[in-house]
Amino acid sequence: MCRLAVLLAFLWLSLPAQATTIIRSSLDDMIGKSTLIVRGRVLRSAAQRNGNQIHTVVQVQVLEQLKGSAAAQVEFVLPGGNLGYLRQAVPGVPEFSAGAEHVFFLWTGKSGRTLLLGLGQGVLDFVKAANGETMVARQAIQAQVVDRGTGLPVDPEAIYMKYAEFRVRVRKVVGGSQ
Amino acid sequence: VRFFVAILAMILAVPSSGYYHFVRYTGPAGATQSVPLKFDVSALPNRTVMVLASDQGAGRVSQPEAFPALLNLIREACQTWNGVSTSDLRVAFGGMYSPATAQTTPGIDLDFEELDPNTQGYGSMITFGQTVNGPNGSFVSVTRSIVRLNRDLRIFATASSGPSFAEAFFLTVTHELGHALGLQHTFTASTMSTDVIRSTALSRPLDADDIAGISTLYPTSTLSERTGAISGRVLFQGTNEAVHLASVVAIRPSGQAVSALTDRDGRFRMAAIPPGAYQLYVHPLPLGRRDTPGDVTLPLDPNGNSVVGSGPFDTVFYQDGGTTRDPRFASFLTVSAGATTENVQFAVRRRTAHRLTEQTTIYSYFGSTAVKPAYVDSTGPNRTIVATGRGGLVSNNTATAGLSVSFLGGTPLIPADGVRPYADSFLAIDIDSASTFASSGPRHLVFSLPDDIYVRPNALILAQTPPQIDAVTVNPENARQAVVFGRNLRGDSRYYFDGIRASVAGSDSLGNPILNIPPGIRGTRSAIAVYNSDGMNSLFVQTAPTHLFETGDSGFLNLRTAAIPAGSESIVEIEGVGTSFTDGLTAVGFGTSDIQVRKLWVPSSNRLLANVWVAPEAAIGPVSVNITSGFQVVTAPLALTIRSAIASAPALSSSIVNAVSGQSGIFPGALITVPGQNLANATFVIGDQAAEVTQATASGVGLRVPANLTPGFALLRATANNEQAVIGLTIEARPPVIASVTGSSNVAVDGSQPVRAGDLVRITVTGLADAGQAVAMSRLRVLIGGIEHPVIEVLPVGDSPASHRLNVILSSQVQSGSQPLTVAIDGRTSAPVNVVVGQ
Repeated sequence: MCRLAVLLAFLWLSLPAQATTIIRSSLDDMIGKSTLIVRGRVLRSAAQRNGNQIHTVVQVQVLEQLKGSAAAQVEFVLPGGNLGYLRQAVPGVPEFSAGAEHVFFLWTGKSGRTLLLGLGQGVLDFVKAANGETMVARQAIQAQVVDRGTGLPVDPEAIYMKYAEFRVRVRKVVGGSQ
Repeated sequence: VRFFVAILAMILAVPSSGYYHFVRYTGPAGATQSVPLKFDVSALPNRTVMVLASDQGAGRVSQPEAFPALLNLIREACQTWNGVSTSDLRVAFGGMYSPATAQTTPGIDLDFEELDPNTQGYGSMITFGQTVNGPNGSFVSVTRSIVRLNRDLRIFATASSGPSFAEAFFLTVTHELGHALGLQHTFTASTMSTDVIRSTALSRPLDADDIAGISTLYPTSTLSERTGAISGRVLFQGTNEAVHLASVVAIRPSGQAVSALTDRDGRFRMAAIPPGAYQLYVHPLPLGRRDTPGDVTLPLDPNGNSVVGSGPFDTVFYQDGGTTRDPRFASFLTVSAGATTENVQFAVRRRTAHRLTEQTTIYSYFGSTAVKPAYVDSTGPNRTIVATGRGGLVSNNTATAGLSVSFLGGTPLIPADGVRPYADSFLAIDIDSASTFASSGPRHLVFSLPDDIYVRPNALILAQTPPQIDAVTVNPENARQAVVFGRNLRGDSRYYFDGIRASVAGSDSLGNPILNIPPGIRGTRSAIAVYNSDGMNSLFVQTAPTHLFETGDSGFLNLRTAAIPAGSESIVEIEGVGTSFTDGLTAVGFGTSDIQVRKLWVPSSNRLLANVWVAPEAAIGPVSVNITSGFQVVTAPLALTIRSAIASAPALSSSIVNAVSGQSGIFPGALITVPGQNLANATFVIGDQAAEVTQATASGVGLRVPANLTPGFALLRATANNEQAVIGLTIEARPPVIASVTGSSNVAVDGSQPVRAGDLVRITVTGLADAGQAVAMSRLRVLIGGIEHPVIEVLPVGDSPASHRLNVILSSQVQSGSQPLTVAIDGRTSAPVNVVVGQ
């Protein structure tokens, strides 16, 4: 019985995708979907009125481009923000402070507008490990459950890895997709 | 999944509502009073908020041919929220709007736009700071809400659903509309939970928590009578410090859950709880970014700054006089309608970090198809589910030391070796094959470590075998119908052609369901799926069969009504050419929330009649009309003109009520009250017959419906000052008439011969059916003193007029004195007669 169950489990993993709805991604999927991945420093974050909505435009100084081709500065748009006394908040949308350094997963659509991939999912923070090593981390957020492409469950873990390993991972995924 | 809100307010203080609403604390620093953001129901026409989809949507979505199906699913999502009987807010689909059209009436605009490939959409509320003092406390009034959905429809499709996005799209829209109405994320796996744990379905779209959330935000006057409440407080052990934003959950082992958040003082109040026995537990908000833990928008202080929640703590169940991590020792609290269980106290132990996962997704499998939520066929052989979370369960293909898993309530059973790591970081859980299931529905898992627990509501849904379609053929006797051949099809099964529900016309001689095929577009093909009420659907076990539409086009429109004054209601007649208007499927919109369709009649496939209300502040000028019928969408640009109101002109409202207390309906001979203005000197005609005015006031008139009208559609015309107002009415069949009431001794009931509790009451009624014809007791409803009395016998007793005798036993709940008695059949209610009830 137990062996049968293990066999079934293996079969599930090896069969093609027919999973239910999912919207979020593994790290590799994030790398694959992004049109631009950069390490950058936030220069400015400013809200703008757009009809009856507010958008926040974030300008980033590019320190290192990991995927895609970036100018010295890039900017992306987030829904919501603070405009005077008017406040528009979108849960899951990160707030950025000038001078903060992050890894950004960006996506530019046909309209030319650049967005943060998966909103709060698309930003990694830099942290120092106990041994002094530079790590990148993503706070856990509501995460993906099954990879639509493969049908396999994807662990929606918070990301916590050495930055050096992260760069290698990006290169590997990008290289594999070329 | 996103929510979006704008606040600008000076706000009055009222007690916080407790549920997961969007709130702002008021008063001095640290104050615990708060106000929610919501629509002002009393300011909405007909207490109805309209949801409009952008008319640009078809050009924006990645698959324009799918747009009609999306409109139908948006409409179903509106009907879902509209169907909550304990909510005072009505929600209606208003068709398509043009972004250029000015709108003054609060409403919800839905549009598609380019979002990144990981975001399905978000919902939003916009306010300009108006604080309103309502009967249920103060609130910040929402002027408009916005829902944005990803234009790339591939994000809603799944491998198993094929070309049909029905369920995923519908659930996303229902969820986002919930945000737009004022609900936050919850953690009970309801529709307002994030997609990660959500366990609702197209065929069972709302959970108890969703219903409680909308009902406590927009309560009806009877909510507190029909449901119960639990209130209490959550404090940290040792310090007695209040725990802010702790999530308290009331849960039934084989039922649904209701939840609430604590305020700054650690207090909570869960209301709108269905009566029953519940266990309670409290858990911290899931780990996340500090500004949005668990994707919950934090309350704001009076300065607009977010007020963060208390740090993590141990999840515990409530036990009389204390708490426990072992659900077997958790106390049950009985929730009764109309009552509040108070002073439920939790003392929780602060933690330095979250230990166990708090957002665990659980799957079951049908063959190679992974299904979420985890449906388990209670009669099938496959009883293994798989859990995946953010850690704490499994690492490096090893289950966390000390981890145990059980179902709340102890069943179903999990065998000793039934919990095992799976594929490196997942947990497979076997359900004991010997488990029997007393009832279908949700079951909840408890993951336990020696120092922490995680409760996962709706971890699996026990259900029956999924439906399956073997074949669909066009009905040889009617080309607009299809016969479905399949397995596990049930009386409550829903059939969809892509996102458009097909009504069931009947069944063939072998019992196979016959469907009315939704109006289609020639040359297009749609996927057919069946959804059972327990959540199972045919896409779990098969690729959807398709139907090719060989005929059909959208046609075009002519409006016979050219203009309506602002601030009035009027009948609008629409003629279609080549159209396929279908009762129950056709929706009419005028492109703005300032124009509301109050009632729609579909006399034929090419003719519509609608009572249309126009807001007093509506923009003067032409508006477009758009009509959705199945896959057919047709627009008549600038076809109806809104003209300025004429101050002296009569105005009618279709909010007509029967003027007789205890009686409802508009039927020949009925006395009705018609609201309106400038009606005091008006003359009235109903269906080409003069209607007698029985009473006239500044706010309306009383009319007697002509006695010899034929049931069906009729126009009501009011004429005064050379102006006319016209609305449509449905004239119903006459209700029954109570001829006599006698007691068990067959003597008329009166002051000298009262009836008493336990007595037989004989009611002779005319108008139930033809002479000698039997009447099913299930069609009848007898109320005495407002108390329902089951009919124990019904007999034909007379021929001229045809009459029947109903026997009931007088309930002890009826108070003594003169009490009204009514008899209703199929919803038609008699005029009341008074009976004397003795002590």
